[in-house]
Amino acid sequence: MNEQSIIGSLQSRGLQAWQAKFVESFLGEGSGAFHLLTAPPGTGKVQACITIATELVAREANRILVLTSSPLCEEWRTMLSDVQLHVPVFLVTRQAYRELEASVQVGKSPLNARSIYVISQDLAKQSDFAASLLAVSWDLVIVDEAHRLIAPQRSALLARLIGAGVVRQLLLVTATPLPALEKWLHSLPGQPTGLLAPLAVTTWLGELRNWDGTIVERPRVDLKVIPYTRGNDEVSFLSKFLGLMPESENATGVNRFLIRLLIHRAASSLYAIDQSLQRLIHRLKTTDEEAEPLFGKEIMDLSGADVDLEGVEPKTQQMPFKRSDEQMSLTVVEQCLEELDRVSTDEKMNLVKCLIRSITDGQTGGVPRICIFSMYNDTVSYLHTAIKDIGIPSFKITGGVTFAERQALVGRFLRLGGVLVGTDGGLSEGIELTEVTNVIHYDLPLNPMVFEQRRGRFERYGRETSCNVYVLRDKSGVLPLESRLIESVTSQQTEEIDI
Amino acid sequence: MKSAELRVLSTSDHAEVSITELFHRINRLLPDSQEVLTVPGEMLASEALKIMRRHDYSQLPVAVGTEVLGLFSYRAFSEAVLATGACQGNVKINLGDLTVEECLEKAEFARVTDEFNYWFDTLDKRDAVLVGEANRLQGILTPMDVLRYLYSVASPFVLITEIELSLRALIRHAVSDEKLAECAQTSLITCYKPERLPKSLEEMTFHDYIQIICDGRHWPFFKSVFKGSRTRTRAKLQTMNELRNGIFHLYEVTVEDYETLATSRDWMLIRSRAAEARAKGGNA
Repeated sequence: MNEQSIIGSLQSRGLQAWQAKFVESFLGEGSGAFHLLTAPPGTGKVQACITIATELVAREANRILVLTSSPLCEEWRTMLSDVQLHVPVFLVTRQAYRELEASVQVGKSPLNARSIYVISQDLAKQSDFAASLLAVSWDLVIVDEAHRLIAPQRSALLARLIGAGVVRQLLLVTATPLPALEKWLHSLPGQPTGLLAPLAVTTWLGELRNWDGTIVERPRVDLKVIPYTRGNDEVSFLSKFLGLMPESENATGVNRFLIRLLIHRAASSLYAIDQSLQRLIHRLKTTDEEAEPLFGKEIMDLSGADVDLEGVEPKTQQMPFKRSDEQMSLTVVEQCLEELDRVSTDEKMNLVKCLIRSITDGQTGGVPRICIFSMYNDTVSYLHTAIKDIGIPSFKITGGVTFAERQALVGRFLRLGGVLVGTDGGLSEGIELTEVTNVIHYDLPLNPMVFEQRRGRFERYGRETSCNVYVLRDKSGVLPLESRLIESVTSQQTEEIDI
Repeated sequence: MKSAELRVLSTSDHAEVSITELFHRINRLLPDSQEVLTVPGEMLASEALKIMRRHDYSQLPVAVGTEVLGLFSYRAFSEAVLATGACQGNVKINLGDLTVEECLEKAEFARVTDEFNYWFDTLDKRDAVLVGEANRLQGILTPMDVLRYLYSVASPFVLITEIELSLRALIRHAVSDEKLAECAQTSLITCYKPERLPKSLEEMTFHDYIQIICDGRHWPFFKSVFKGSRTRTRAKLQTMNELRNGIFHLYEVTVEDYETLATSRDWMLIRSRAAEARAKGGNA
């Protein structure tokens, strides 16, 4: 099959021109062994990767390995399974691995069957897993979120796999722009001159072209700021809360992390901070002996430094347990909760309800599709409960349910319309919201890349309809962190509207 | 709430092939983070004891390469000391010279697919069962692993019971039986046929409790008990209800779910104490 016929076949399968060109160059004769694809969210890089895997399986590839972050493993497994590859797709967890191991002869790798294996990068770096990965050959290794390889332990595994000559083709995929990766690419352990040379780099960060050669325009998205003012009781609580928190700049270790987490959760919603404080009290009252059987040693040993506060869905279970002399005292936390008990208003929530009503009233024909993003499960639960009063269909989605269930739920939302409230973890890669007409950022992530991921869900290339995007600015300015985050995503030209 | 994590899928029909993973087998009891530490046979027993103390272990598998020879434990050590003393009469021996190989006890191997109750007697006698085979050690199972696992399976049910019973008590504290019947009439009328409308707490579901407490018309009766705002209370109770339903539908409870349950139970306890104190004339 020549280049043109391959590209034609890819076009007929619904790929965009830039995706097809990349897939063809990866699979074409003379293609190098090592590829890096760096592309912004919303450009369809996962779809391109899956097409490559499909083609390789059709060409009798024996074994394919997908290394990704833990929250995305389930999504990769589902997406690969959905394309009916005619080879098994295994999501390898510790338990599944032990069973696979027990089912093969001693000395044989449990990963020796003709299959696609999806493994989390954290699990893969463990010594027994790494040994099994090194014991077989791989026709293709896809490393999703390749920027995570900057962590030395993770790149060490990749270097070992390549050094052992067991990788026939490697595909590194990331949304991180190339300049941020260059230092890492040239500093892989033991290979200072570039283990991956020659590395074929494809970037979709610049201009992309449609099949007819025209330049793809990024979808039109109107970002609007809606001002509101928190109630007096809210401002009073938040001021006292900030006053009771030690200065995070002066704090160290666990406390530094904890203070940032609490303030960010307070900026998200009163419910999120309420739940965090309740959990903190529970942890402060629980002895290590009581907690360890339930939480496990791994969580008990977490320190602030281990926790990814800027990840897509910082879990409360990541709240460190470690006791230290400077740990926030029970009295402080109880004082905060007492203050919170006096708060009966929630102007941010009221504003969102007004906004939803205003969008619904302004809709001509049918129910609008409104999506609300939050960083936190607690805020999502709270919002979902509160907006039920409005009387239009509402859906809740978090990273806690399987990808297939999330896909089904999004499908129902797109069919029926209404409000979809979700965390960044729940509305992650693989979820497309191109038919959503209104997006509300109930809170803003600390990490700009997470915000980009959010945008990638609805600002997808090829989207033809416009989309209104709202951020909510509290005029009281009681939480400086919140104001800073809003400034980071808006500009002087951003329109401010009243509801 | 995460449905039971069946991780191995076939591509053809998405059928979850490893249904046996649903059963309480040894594989589920082994902590995912477990890294088995082995020691060589020639290591001094004193050194091995130090390692056990440092890691808070009660035994260590002894191995040559990947071949497990047996287990070194406090019991095996004391038995070896006794045996050595008995052989040598009253001659004073240097315990520091003992190697772990001289203090070995036989190890028994379970398979990851075994049901764990089959190994209770061995766990009772030896305090540990090795998992895998002599030349492929996959893990080590101790009575504490079993206890922790069973506790983690049972405790959500205990917590949910405490939550539900204390919620009923708080409702009783806030309104009389007659008032409750009135509230039910107002809040639940759209959910039931008139003749089936529940009147007592025992007849109502958790969802009914939420409907009554968080109905704007009734909130003034409950505000002093639950404090804060009606919407936050509703979100808390709704979360408890979702967890309750998940637990009774036998979904796997994640660490986060468990913590939410425990925290909810604590919140109920605080509210109950405050309500009791108020009833006794205190200021809580």
